[in-house]
Amino acid sequence: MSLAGELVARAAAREAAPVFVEYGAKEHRSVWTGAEFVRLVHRVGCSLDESGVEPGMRVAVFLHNSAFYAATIIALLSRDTVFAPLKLDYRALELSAIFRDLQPHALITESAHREHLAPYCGDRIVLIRDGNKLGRSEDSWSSYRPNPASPASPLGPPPAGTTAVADGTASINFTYRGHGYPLGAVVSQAQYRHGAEVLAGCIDAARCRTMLVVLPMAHIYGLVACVFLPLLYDITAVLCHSMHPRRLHRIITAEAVDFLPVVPEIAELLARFPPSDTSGIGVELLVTGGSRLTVEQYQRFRATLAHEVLNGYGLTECTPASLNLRGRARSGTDGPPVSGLEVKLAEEDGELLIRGAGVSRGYYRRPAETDAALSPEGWFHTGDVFRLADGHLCFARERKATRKVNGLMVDLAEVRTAILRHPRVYEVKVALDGNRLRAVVTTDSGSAKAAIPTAGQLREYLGERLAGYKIPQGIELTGR
Amino acid sequence: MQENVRETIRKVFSEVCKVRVEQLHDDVRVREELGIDSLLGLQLLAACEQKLGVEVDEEACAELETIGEFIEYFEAPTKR
Repeated sequence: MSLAGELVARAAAREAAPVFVEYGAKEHRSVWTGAEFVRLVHRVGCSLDESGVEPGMRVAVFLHNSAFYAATIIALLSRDTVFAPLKLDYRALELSAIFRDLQPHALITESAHREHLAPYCGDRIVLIRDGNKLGRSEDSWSSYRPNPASPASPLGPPPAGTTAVADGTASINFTYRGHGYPLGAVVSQAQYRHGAEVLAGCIDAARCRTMLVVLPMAHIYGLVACVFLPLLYDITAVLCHSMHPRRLHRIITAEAVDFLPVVPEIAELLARFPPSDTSGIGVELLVTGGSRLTVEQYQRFRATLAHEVLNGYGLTECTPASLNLRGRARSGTDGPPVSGLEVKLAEEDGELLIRGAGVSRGYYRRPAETDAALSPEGWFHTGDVFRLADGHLCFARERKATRKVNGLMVDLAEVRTAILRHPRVYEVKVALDGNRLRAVVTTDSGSAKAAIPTAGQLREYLGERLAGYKIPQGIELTGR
Repeated sequence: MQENVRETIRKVFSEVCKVRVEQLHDDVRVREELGIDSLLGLQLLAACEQKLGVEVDEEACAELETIGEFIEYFEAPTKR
């Protein structure tokens, strides 16, 4: 059975049981039973068909976390399209690069986001989400005239060469390797299935009944852990649109959440701001990844948040790649490599190399970057340095010029490029300081092209060009 | 009470953003000038709520732009 067929069949079998519960603004709660969710998938699928979306088309998806997001992904999978889950946070610099590579035939977005994507619509099929419906935009996008002051640059030609999208390709997921621009990892349906299967094995999914979803579905791990895993293994997924610790604690209690997959920074927020009316352990299982979990955090989270804490490692090109096993977790490690994955550490520097069916086969339309990442023998260079301790991987440092800020990947060269585009900036150094991004910016006082910006003005400038989480919190300005 | 709210909020911002209290004037824009992102914003909000013993509307707080607006919001119970 196809992945989409299996996902729909599993949801249908749960008929009147809740598969998704959503908490929106003002803690408004809505429930999707298995039968309702299957009808939603069908309805979204019909909208895709009526709008002219056909098999093989590339479809860019810009949606908020929701049951609707999950239904859209399944509907796209069932029609053999190739979807690209993209962040609503992306701004001109990221969008220009992604659209240049992806050249999507269609895009799906929230009604509130449509104007933001207007420069990229062209003659593409544009589908707008309005509540739980998807409709083709009747706007004449061809009449759009870019604002001359807008940083949205016209799309350049796609890069030379291609990495073919083969049969079985589910999606193109954009990530970074320190080149200064995003790369679209080609992800197969088998990778998603493999990811959900190994994750289910590590956490013993049969013991999980209700999970809290705050991880972004625009990330591959969010899709694997928060869409495919709960649907394939009969876990109720409770979505919360807020990450306020007070709200999350209330929902964990109200919904009897027993499985909590989050980045360590969110776990830290929950631990630092415990509920006022109770104390002690909140959930059975906490699974962390995305950024480093210290031994001290592991112990504290076990004492205050969860009976068991499993830390793991993954990347867009292979997720999860390693994860501690339930009942056998070891603090300070990212767990053993998942089953079906070959691993080795490069002799010269300890870079983790991986190989297996769960690994991406390259970057879309980026043959040079693909060759640099994948050896002729099929070993994928993760760009991360590890050591091995009794079969467990232990993250040491990034080899590539990317860093994690609150679990989100930041390409230092991309941030530097964005700042350097300011007409009064002469030189920039960007680095991670603790968990905060810092930039030392040398302004060019000799030029009269524009006023020298303050740190606040530079952040405003960057806000139109980069996702907010990539804008340095600390900006130090110096004159040339 | 209102002086306590002002002092508490400025102290929380100072601790979370690693900025001296004296620099936190009412007209300081929290996102552009202090570089507060969504996670840091949640940390600030949760810390202010914890120290002042109140619960505020998270969506309404997302609209606040300056330190002064934060103080005014936490000082005026009717707006909560």
